[in-house]
Amino acid sequence: MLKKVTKPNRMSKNHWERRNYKWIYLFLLPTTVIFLMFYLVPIVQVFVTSFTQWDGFNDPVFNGIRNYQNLFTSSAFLVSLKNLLLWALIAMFFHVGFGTLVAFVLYQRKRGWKVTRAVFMIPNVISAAAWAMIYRFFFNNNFGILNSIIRTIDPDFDVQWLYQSPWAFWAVTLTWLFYAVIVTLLVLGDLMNIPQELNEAAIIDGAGGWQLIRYIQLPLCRGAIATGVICSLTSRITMYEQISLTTAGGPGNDTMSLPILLVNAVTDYRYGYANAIGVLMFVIGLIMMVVINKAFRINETDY
Amino acid sequence: MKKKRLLAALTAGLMLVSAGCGASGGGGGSTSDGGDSGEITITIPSYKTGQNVGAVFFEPQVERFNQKYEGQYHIELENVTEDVFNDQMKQLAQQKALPPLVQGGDKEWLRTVVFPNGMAHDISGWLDENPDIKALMLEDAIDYCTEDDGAIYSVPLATVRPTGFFYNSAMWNPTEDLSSLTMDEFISLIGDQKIAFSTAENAWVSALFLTALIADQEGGVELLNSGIEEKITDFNQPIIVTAVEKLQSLLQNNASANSVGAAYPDAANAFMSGQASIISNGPWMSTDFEETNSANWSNGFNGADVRASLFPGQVGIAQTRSYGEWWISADATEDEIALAEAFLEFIYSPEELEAYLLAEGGDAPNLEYSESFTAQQGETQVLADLAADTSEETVFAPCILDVIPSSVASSDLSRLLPSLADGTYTAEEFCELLTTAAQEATAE
Repeated sequence: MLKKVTKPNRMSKNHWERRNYKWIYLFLLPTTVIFLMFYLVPIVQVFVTSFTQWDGFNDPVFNGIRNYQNLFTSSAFLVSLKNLLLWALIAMFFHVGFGTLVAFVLYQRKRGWKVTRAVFMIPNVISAAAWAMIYRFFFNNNFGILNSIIRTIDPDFDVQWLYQSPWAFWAVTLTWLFYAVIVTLLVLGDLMNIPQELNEAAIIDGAGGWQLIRYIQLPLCRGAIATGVICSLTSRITMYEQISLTTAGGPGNDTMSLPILLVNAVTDYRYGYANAIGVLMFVIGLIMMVVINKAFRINETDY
Repeated sequence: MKKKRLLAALTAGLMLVSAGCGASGGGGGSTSDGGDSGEITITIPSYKTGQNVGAVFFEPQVERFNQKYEGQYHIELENVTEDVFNDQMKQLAQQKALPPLVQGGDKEWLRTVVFPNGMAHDISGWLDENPDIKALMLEDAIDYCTEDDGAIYSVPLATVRPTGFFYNSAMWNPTEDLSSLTMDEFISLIGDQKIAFSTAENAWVSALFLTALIADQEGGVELLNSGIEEKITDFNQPIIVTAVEKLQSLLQNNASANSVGAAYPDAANAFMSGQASIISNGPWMSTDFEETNSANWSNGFNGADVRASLFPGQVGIAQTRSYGEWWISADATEDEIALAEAFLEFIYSPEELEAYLLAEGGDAPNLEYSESFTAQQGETQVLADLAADTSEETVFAPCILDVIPSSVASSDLSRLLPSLADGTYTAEEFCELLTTAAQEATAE
């Protein structure tokens, strides 16, 4: 009797597994095709053509590492790397720091915290291009609100924030520095997921407000902060609109960035050179992600 | 049976994905034969539509064509913003979805990609069959558009629209013939008058002045013309350094308050609000000074007070050795080519050329003007001023933005100008940085 019962069961299980596999493959197919067509193939194409001289229409001509040599001897490229490093540090410590701070303030759930969270969210629903235009007016020397306020104290004040060294770099930085709502939402989400028992146990053990944050809450938000750092740094690598619509990389090369150089190369039909810049952006992004993963031990679980 | 079902489902899925990925999304222009009527219809993307200043003349012109050829040919216009127009043409070309009749496109792209790769239809035969049209075209333009093998792809220009400058006679009313002065005399004459400059985007207004400052010097026009064939990448030449020195002086002493960081609309606003008495721009700006556009005026500005002149040294900024506005796609069918050629014949007719010149200014040197045209041209003061200045003595020079590498024109020049204006760079340093940028942009 047992044999009669178990054998059909095993067959039935295999049968259903096979049928399920077919459906799994079917459902995976669109994603696989889309991944291949829109991600893998273009990425491979970018890598391959970065070693060519290519105008985007005629066949690419292999030119070895000439594009990379041209890049590393370009003063604009070296300045853009320096700017990226500075912006990455500012993003990591101040942008993410500010977003985390706001998350901790909101976590106290004082009166009006939900309204504050919603208001903090508003800049994120406005496009970067629109923000750039708003900042062009904000920093305008003649009628911008910043200089108007300063001139109430110093009537002779005259600074072209976006077009004068060294202010342009800091003016562009200010266009994104305090818009850290993504970091805030990530950290706030982690904070709200901390089991109440942990906080209560720490309080019973005599932990004060700062100790609670320092030893319980902050370590448990490690993953969210790391994700925030990754988001913030990758945004710095790809930052284009804020610069293009305000300073276009100037004055001089003060606010030059890799995407601006990439677009300029495309304008000159130097797709091989542009793709070499793309490859470097890709590699820098990967390195940043690996370092942050290691530094924040992002794959380790806390609970 | 189940395998077949699975195969069918997989095929259907793939087809859906392929259809999704392969859809062109329109925008490439389409043709229909108009059903039973037999009317050939094409759709062409154009930036001279909607709110674009060029739409004022172009849209009614297409309507006139449609009326003239009603039942035979019909053109539909598809609105594409000017900023993205050239990029869209390139994308359509890559997808092999160009419209039968193509309006413009990036000149460098036409020269290096479109024409050498057989993407355009040869119109030399059509021109030979229409000698009256060919006779209207500028000799320089025909020469430039003729390939080594005799083929002509871009329709050569018949008109030239020399760009000079406008001035508000209510603020500054010189009695001299400004175009016959030297540039130094002109600069001395303007005293402390304010000029509307722009340094953002491609620094258009400043670039026009820089062009005039270069063209005014001995060998300057030749230098600018040399950039038509091979882009200028050495800005350390004395002619350019001297011109930049003068531009720096103008930026520091005569620029309107909003010039640094100003895009073209900001510069135009400075002029039409009385903050500047001089602005350089093409004759198409004349429509801004008509009463119908008075909503854009402020601080007592009156369009009727505006006068125009070519630059000192009788310099008019215009490129006669250039591709024209139209070309026909090599993929166009015979019907589409017939329609395109009919449209070109229409817009190159004397009546339409005169209508164009009245609307947008300029000159058609090989066209014998009708009396009514001459009378009507005189009614628009600034166009009459420019027409009076344009003669056989006029020196045409291409705009510097057209003779330097594209990225230098669209980005580097405007990026460096603010530092020239505030004195961070000397003229020599500015030219050295431009040279570096240009050489990097053309490095192979």
